Amino acid sequence: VSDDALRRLCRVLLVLNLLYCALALLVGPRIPSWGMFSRVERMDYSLTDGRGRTVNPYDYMPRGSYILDQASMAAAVSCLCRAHPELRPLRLDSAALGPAGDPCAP
Amino acid sequence: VKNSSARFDRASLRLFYRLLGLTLMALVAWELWAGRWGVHAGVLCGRRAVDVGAYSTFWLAVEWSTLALSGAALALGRRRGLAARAACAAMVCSVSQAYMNQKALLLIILFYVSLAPPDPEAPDVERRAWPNMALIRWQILIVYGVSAVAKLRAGFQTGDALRGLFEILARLPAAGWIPAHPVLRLFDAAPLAAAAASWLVIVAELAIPVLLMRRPRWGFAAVVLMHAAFMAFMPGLVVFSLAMLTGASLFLA
Repeated sequence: VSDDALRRLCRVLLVLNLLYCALALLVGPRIPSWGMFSRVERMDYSLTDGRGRTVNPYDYMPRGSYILDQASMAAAVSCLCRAHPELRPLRLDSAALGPAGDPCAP
Repeated sequence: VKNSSARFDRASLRLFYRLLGLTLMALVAWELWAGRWGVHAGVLCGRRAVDVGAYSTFWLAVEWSTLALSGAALALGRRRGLAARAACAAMVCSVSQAYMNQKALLLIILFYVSLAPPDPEAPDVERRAWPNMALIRWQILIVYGVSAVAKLRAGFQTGDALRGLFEILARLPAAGWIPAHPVLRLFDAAPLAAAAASWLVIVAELAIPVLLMRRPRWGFAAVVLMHAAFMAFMPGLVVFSLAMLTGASLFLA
């Protein structure tokens, strides 16, 4: 790649990068960007297993994972249903995630 | 404004490659410790950017080996171009499997390097312009700038999001060097403290790009300080912090 071509390519990449970031600022957390914990939804929830013991979803995720919004919480619970049938029936109490009950029920 | 050109001296390029190599090796060590193997073994729940399905533990081992070997080569100054490109390919796979900001940032840095990897030992390296490496400087400015603006738009300055974050930290099995509970109690007793801390983060994120451009050494020190403060509470930010330091080192040219 010649120096001129590289310079032109880099200009295009920079413009695309800036446009993407501007778009991400406009549409919010729906697309990945550099929000860096700018939005953290309050999540009052209680998750218990079939024996009534509290289930901490973070115990079933790699370290360094964060559940920052309801959608991530729903995905984590859905994964628990799939990967850990020994916990069922789970019971999830959360005003934000729908009526209390077994989140694994079809 | 210092360092506005796309020229870099040998020492800063060598430092950049060393830090990049160390960051890649730290990423692999971090993922081993964090338990990403369990995601691919079907025991733990991971997060994907695209729903491509988790690949087997064999391919995870291939990904980690590629990243670790490339990281070692970059840190030792061997076959830097090949190492950067191999790491870039492995990082594409890694991001598709477990999306995280730290990996997205490393992928962008590796991609820019791979376009035209400068050889710090080449006689003309300081005379040539390296616009692809200047893009990495831009990326660091963009990350801080976008983060600050996103926080202001989301109302981070009220302190509610920071309090929510500490609630999450208090639930994590692996605590930071400073436990979250005392901070949470402080925020409950004095809500203004959460708002003040939030403003401090935003101001730092706005000030660091200016410092990096006008006073690179002060800016680099500010990057170290701010990320050390974050890591004290959130051990998961080690790799992201190293990636930011790697990019910021290019301002020291």
